[in-house]
Amino acid sequence: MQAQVRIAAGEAQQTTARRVRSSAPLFCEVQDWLFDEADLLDSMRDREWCDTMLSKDIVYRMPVREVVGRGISAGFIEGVYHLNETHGTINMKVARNETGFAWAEDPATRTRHFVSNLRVFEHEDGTLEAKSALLLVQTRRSDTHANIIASERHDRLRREGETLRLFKRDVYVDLTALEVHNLAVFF
Amino acid sequence: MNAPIQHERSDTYVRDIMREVDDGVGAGWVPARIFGNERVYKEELRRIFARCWLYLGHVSEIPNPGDFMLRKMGEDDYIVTRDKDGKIHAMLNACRHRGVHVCRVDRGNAEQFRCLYHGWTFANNGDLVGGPLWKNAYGDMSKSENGLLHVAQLDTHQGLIFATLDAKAPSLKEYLGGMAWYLDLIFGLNEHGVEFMGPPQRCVIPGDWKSAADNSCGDDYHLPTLHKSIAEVNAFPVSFVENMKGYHIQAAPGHSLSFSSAMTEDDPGPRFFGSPQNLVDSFNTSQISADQLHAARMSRVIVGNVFPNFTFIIVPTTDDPNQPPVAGISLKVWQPKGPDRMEIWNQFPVYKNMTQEQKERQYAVTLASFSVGGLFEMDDSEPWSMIHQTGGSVSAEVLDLKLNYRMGLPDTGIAQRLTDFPGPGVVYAPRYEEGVQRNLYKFYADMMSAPLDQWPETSFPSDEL
Repeated sequence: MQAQVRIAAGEAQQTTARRVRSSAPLFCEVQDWLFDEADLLDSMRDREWCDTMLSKDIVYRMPVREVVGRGISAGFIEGVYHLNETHGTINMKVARNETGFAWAEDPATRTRHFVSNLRVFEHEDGTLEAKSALLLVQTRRSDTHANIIASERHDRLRREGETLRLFKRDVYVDLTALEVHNLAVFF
Repeated sequence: MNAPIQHERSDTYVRDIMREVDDGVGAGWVPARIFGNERVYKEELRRIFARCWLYLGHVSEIPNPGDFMLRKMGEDDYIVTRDKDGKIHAMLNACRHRGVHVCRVDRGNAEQFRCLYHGWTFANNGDLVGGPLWKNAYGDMSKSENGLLHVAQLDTHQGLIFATLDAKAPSLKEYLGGMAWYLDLIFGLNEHGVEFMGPPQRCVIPGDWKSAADNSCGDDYHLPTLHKSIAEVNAFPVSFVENMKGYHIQAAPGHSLSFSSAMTEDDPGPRFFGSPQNLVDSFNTSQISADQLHAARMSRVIVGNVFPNFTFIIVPTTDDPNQPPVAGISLKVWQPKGPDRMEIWNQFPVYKNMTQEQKERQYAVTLASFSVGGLFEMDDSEPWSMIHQTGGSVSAEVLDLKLNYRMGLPDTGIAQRLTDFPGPGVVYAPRYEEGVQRNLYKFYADMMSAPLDQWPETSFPSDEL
């Protein structure tokens, strides 16, 4: 087996990135971007999200997590994923939702992306890093039970023309076994 | 999640339902109340999951002495280890002192497991080593009688580790019967064998585990409807009608599979499930027969289920219309987690002699198709999340809802029995056929009805073959 347990989410990274304080206009711009994104995802505008907010070379991943001893790591495994997407695969899922036969999301589930605990960093090359906590609350049909998935997102954004676009997202989930109907929605 | 409704039950309740399954399944009728039924489920844990051979993992996951991984047998945790001599063990994750879990991480390497409660310590072969102030506490009390509890039998086939809690269960070889021929055809295509791209991806979804096993026996008829979106976005290179060509095989009682296959050399591919050419070039008859190699060569898709809950699936697919389809391979265990929930353990084998780039491409494609975030599988959980609701309903009982598994019976549809297929088992073609599922439920009813000290037949009577 190639996979090895490595240190990942929530742990210090060696970086020369500069912290952007929450009082800075740049911080507000990133926060606005994340809130706008959440609004698109929660209002079934995934085509608009894909076309206007994602970079063509996006790497979008949700690594698998294991239970490991304290002090070893956070349990995320290098190269092992729940989701491992590119712009092509994300586009395929968005296109699927437009076919009229995407039963996992038709009737659509209701999602609410709660984004908080935001910290913003600026790298030397001008790209931005946003670390946020995401609480995804999802309900479906007439169920009163909601699926709640808590995670930490590490996002990388860069300016392409006038707008910021997402070129990397790692979603570090809290759970080792996800309780979901499926992973047909975006985090 | 809707909890199944509890009814007052007599002792014969489950037995009566199983008699109904046994009486009806031959003619294609299965009572809905086997699904989402708490009483039935409890009996399944005892009569199926505590008796049948269950898949635990692959030898390549614990390659070194001391390696261990936590796995499930039914709802219970077992520590699967490789001891210092290289022998594989599977032991209940429970200290013999108070029953506390002695292993609380998913995998690792350890010579010993020490219970955190009082410190009883066990070697990775299960032997009790001792505990704090042992002489004062226990004097000369036998250690050999207080080791971790082992499974009754453990064996491997093609590196796949199986175990059973029933000492009277037939051997793994006998239990798999004809299914071994088909497992070999997947895992023995060359002398290099497979390794796994990481530990299991685990997800808990609503549904009765039987719905997933049922689907995996060869429910090809659901593709044009449930998976219609796949064709619309060009993720699957075979037309749905063409895809119904192939074989439905009851390999042995309980074990079923299905091939989408070219029937003649003139039929379109892909061959070998869409495996890359340099891998195909390495396929040979060093481990398997020429008939097995030929069957694999003609195959586009294979899906099957080793009773009760171990599924293999190989499908040519792509995650991006600009990239050509490749064979995606997924192994799944539909872990029971109540009458209304299952936990999917999803693993991704790759042939060892593929290039690293090919391994990663195959993994990415399989993940994008056959995981809960995959284009195929994200829709599968949708019907599965409703069957147990229907089965557990009062209406299913009061109105006596029987589900229709009649496709392919002599008076129903075009499927015909084949007698010249080279592989073992009862074979039908084309795939408009539900005998594969009737085989699942027939053996299911046999196991659920058999006295706990007896085993039903694990091979078909010769006059049926």
